[in-house]
Amino acid sequence: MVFQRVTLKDIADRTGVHTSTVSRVLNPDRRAMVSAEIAGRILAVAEELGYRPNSLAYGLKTNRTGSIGVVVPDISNPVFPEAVQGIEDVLIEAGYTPILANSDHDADRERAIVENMRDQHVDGLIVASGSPHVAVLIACKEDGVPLVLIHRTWDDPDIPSVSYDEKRGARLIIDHLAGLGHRDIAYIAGPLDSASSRDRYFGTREALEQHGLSENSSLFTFADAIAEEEGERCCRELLQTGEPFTALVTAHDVLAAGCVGVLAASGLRIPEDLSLTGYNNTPYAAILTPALTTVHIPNYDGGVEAARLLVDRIENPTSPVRRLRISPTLVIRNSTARPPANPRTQTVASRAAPQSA
Amino acid sequence: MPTGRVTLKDIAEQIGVHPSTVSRVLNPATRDMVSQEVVEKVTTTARSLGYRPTPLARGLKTQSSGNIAVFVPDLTNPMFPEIVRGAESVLIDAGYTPILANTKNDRERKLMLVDHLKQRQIDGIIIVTALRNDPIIAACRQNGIPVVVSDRGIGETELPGLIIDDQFGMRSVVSHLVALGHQKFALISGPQRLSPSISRHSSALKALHERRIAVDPDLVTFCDDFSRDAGHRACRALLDQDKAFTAIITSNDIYAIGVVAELRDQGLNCPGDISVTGYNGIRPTKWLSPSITTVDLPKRMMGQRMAEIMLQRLKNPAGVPERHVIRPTLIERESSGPVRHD
Repeated sequence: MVFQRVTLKDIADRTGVHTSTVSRVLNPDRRAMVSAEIAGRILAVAEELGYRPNSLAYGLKTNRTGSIGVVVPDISNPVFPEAVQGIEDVLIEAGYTPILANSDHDADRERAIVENMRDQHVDGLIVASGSPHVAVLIACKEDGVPLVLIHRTWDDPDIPSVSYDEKRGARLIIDHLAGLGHRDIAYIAGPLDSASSRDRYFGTREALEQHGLSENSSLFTFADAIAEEEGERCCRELLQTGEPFTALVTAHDVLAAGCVGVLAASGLRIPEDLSLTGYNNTPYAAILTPALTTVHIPNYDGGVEAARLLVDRIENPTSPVRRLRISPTLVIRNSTARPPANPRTQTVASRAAPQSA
Repeated sequence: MPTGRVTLKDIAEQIGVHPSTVSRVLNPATRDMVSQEVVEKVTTTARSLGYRPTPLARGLKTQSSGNIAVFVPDLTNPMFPEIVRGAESVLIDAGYTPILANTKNDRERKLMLVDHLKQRQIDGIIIVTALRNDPIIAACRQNGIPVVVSDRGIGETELPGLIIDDQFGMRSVVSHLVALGHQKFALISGPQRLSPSISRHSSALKALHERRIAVDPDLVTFCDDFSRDAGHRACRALLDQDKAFTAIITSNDIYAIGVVAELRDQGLNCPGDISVTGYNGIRPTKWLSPSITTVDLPKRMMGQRMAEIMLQRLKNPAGVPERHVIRPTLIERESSGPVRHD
């Protein structure tokens, strides 16, 4: 799509004033230098023509606005507050003000937020999203708004990003469990519209295949959201199948937290009867009882790196684009052990029935 | 079709209304002047055409940017994201764009944010947890930015917003523990520069006083930040006093989580040896073993109420500041139990 940019000259011609007058009016800091009547006329014409300042030129000629838009899918997912802290610590140190918004995994909302932020003349954007609205990203790129993606990459090599090797993370868990002797492994996946959940899911399947366990381990369920209640629901569902399994792998610590209560209510002990794993090493993985074996994703460091990439883009627009891929690590705690001689999950199906409360 | 920006005129022509009607609908402050049916038509058409307001022009004419900021002190405390989600849902439905800022309760950072948002013609700021004499409030007053605050104790503020009935909350904690036979208490409270910490601490003292229970001053500790570590340290400091107590009332779940872990590290049983209570009702209190007895605040609803009060404020700036009282509820769990008589 060709976007014909409206220039200051277009507005000046239309209103019969000098270009520099238009420029003054369109810069909020200098608007007071022009009479209210002329300012009003110029702004009306600017709006009518659909004028939008060129953010790069704007930054070069005037001061930058100093604000950076940060878009995350859901700040109540404990992964994002940590990433945001990392982002903020770097941006504030560098003299920028981060403004945050939740996209709620909703493409329309994400688009509205990004457009609003661009209208606010943010100096750049950091977008963390499972499924970014590609049109928005293309528009940012075309308009020269510096952009960094976090928590996912995009095929375009011109967009800097920070992502995590989720498949590797998933494999670390399966390797660990297979090494302990588990053969019957159940899995609770995250919502598959999120790229990271998808990668974890595929990584888990691949790893099971590599260990020759894909035949035994056919128990997969899918959470609709990263929420404790979804962990509970999926855990019940798995127990109700009446299938034997000795390990329960989840795509997120929060899902694992939901399983803990259901397993206790069903009389299954962790890890004696069943090993349980999380993912993300959120602050609560360590304080659950038993403490959770999980995959550590350096969310804070990822935020730091993303903010550094962005500041670099803003201050040296011609510097080479960098795309970082961070490797997760396994954290072994008390929720995993050797499998029991006789699996017990198939004996508790009736007790796992949903309670009316 | 001409390239470039979609204007009010484009939208007006498409649905056959006057551009000034479109303008009224697209400005949240004047939207009420137009019928619901037309509002819907305009917003749908605006969206399908990809309309975007010019904030510069909009600012000059209406002094409104359509943005409302939500300030929270610490996003890593699971309390705050839920409040934010509540506020956002109401603001978005009303046509505003919420802008979230994590202040870390840092004075410089807050002032920088206010300054920055003022330049962006922010319509209002919702402040979740304010300092006593918070510099943001003075800065907003100076700049004519409406504020709504939360988490103030009763009688503490003239500002619109939420008042948390901490007296009620702490009374239910004390009643519960006294009913379990507790008479010797220790307190772990938050930094006394923050309104909620002050309110919770004084409410706990009062609630104990009402039961004719005097707390040994050596068994009253204050943390200077909000972290599990602070809870660990405070618990150790209490145990080091070598004085008898059977229950610890904390004014924050984050402390209670640290305390329960510290008791375990010290080989003490909770609740067998010492009962522990939290405050806020964050989710992890339910996951832990023992699960933690806490005073639950309706976080999502609090966010929604604050946003509604802000919208009311913007519609009628001269109205009486609305203050909504929030009554927290005690959730009894495993960390509080009967006193053991050996």
